[in-house]
Amino acid sequence: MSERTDDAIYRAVAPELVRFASGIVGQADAPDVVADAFVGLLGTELWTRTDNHRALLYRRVLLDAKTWLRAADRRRARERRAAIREPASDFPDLEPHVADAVRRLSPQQRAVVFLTYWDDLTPAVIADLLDVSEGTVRKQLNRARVELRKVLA
Amino acid sequence: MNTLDDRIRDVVQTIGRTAHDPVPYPGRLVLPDTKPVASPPRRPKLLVGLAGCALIAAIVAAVVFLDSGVRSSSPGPASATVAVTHEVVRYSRTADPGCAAREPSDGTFDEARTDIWERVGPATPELRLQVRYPDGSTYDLIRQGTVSRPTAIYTRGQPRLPADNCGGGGSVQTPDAGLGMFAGLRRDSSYQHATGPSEPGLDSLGRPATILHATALVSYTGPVITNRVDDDTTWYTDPESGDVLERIVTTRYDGIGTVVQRSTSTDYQNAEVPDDVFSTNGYETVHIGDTAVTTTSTSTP
Repeated sequence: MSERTDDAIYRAVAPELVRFASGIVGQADAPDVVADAFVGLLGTELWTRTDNHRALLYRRVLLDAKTWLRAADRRRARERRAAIREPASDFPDLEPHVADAVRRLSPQQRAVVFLTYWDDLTPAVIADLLDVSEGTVRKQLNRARVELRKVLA
Repeated sequence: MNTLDDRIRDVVQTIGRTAHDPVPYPGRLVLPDTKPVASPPRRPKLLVGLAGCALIAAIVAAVVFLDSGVRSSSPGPASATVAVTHEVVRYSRTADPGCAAREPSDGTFDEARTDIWERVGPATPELRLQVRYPDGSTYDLIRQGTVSRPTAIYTRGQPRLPADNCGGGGSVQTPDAGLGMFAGLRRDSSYQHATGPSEPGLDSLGRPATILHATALVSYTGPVITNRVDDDTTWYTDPESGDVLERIVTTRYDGIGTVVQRSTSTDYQNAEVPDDVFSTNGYETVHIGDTAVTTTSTSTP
């Protein structure tokens, strides 16, 4: 596959992936997570052999987002301990109590919520996209709704 | 739809609407399969491909047609001519690697010249570029089909690596490399993702230009950035046509050094050339097939 082809795929899918990643790691880090996921896949056998780059990218972004969040949590903890400053909000456009509720969701729950309410995807389609079972999607979505209900209902 | 669903949707819409733009295409930081340098065990894993790039840089123009190697590889008499645009791109790079151990590479060049001939008119899109390095070696690439939908790609010769490499392992190529360059600089507007306002100015040849600027944080080591790499790209574009006249990419490798690459389109004109300039005799086929670019499916050659 040519670099130009990869470039075209990136330009076609990156905006929606950044929105997706924003729902997981917040808007500031999302572009980097997506770029990182893309670079991580380029040149791999998985990338050259797949017939669905979009799904592959969604899965990789979710995977990288989880890693990113763990690192971000550690960084925030260090900053708080050192009282350097109040860490920047990852969801600056949400009310603080709503942002806190989103943060309490797991990365997978955030992913499922975003795909459900932004892309209007069904659990079956989300399951296919993220390579998990439909039951897992439904379970994650229900748990997320329970958590969000506490602040939104 | 109940109230909770509506409110969750509002939250998600807020997040989605305020999402940032993607960073520019980061793929050129991935070194192609061509083996860069051996990696001695004592080196850090990180390779600053401080250079990696160079490939494309640049080459020899009209001289090419007089080059016996090119002619001898072309079948039959070169009596017919074709209408093309001919562009000359000068490439140069400077690097200041701060790594303790430098590795020699097989490239050892910091400047090159690339000639690009692109067929014009109703015929099937076709492009040839030739990079000529200071030691006289060349690397040729012929692309059939369009940039985004190439039907075949052929290469001849070996692309070279730049002079200075640090580290080992080989997984990085600085952006303005050229190994994957399938178009000339003037037509290459796909990487213009300016992150700031444009301003008028002059390029290095003193030509009036609209200056665009973009910065990006990039990395090359996997799911988490372990060594920060920052890209700073400036495009000097023709104020009227929008063509790229010059591109300068500054790449800063945290803790290692900085690479500055400059590509300047020094000449661009219509020309008539022998049609054997697009002959693929003696070339290696690296891609055949109609590479459809979609968001869900892409055929693999």
